Amino acid sequence: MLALTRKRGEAITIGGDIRVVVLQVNGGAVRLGIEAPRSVAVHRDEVYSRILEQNRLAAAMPLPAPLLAAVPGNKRTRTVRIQVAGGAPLRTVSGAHTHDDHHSH
Amino acid sequence: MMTTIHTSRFGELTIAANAILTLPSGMIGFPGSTRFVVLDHFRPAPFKWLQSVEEADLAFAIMDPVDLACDYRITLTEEDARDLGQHEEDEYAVFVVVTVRSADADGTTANLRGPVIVNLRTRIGKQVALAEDLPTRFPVFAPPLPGAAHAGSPTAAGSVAP
Repeated sequence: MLALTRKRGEAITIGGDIRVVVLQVNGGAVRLGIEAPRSVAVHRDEVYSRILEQNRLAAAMPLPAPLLAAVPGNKRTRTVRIQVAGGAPLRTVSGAHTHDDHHSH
Repeated sequence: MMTTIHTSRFGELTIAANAILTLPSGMIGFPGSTRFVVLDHFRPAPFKWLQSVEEADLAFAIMDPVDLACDYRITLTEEDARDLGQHEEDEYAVFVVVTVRSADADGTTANLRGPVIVNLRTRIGKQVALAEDLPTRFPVFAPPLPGAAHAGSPTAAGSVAP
């Protein structure tokens, strides 16, 4: 691992089109500004790793997981709302016809 | 048009070609598979499977968060919205990934932090990593304690009134 020392206001560049600036240093916390192309996903490492871990567990499940045939019995009165940062909510469809009716053919 | 796909869990399936969803980035950690179909085998149970068309043994149990014991209000980044496409009439489906860790009820959890959003017009989807601090292991069966798991808290919702 390459280790570099930077002060507040200083930056590093990665691969020509990614720039990471040290905005603030406060105690043990460092605030970073990241300039990267839209195509580059930037996440806090732990968030991405936690989602990845859940995906790995989910993908490793054989069929049938007995509980998956059970109905949780939670009331379907819950709100599901998606919003885009600074924008209006998206229209969501619950029970949408995303599935395939292969079993009916 | 119908097409046949091979799956390790469900055998060989004949599906409508227009039922296929495209996730250009794949599922997080599984970038090699970008085409999926949602299988709905367990009605009336809310669980479905997001089955890869390209990899027979890659499938994720998923559910609509409307069946969870919490409100689910999330905020996408502009990048996510652009990847999904955003036209005036577009409608979206939301799924959360379900894992079963043990036979007891609280061993079944849903990942609220990394939902899969699908644009139903374009059938393009994306698993997004949310900025909101939502649990990756929210119990699907056990009723949460009052005040627990604020999946629908106003701060997470961007304070939009219903």
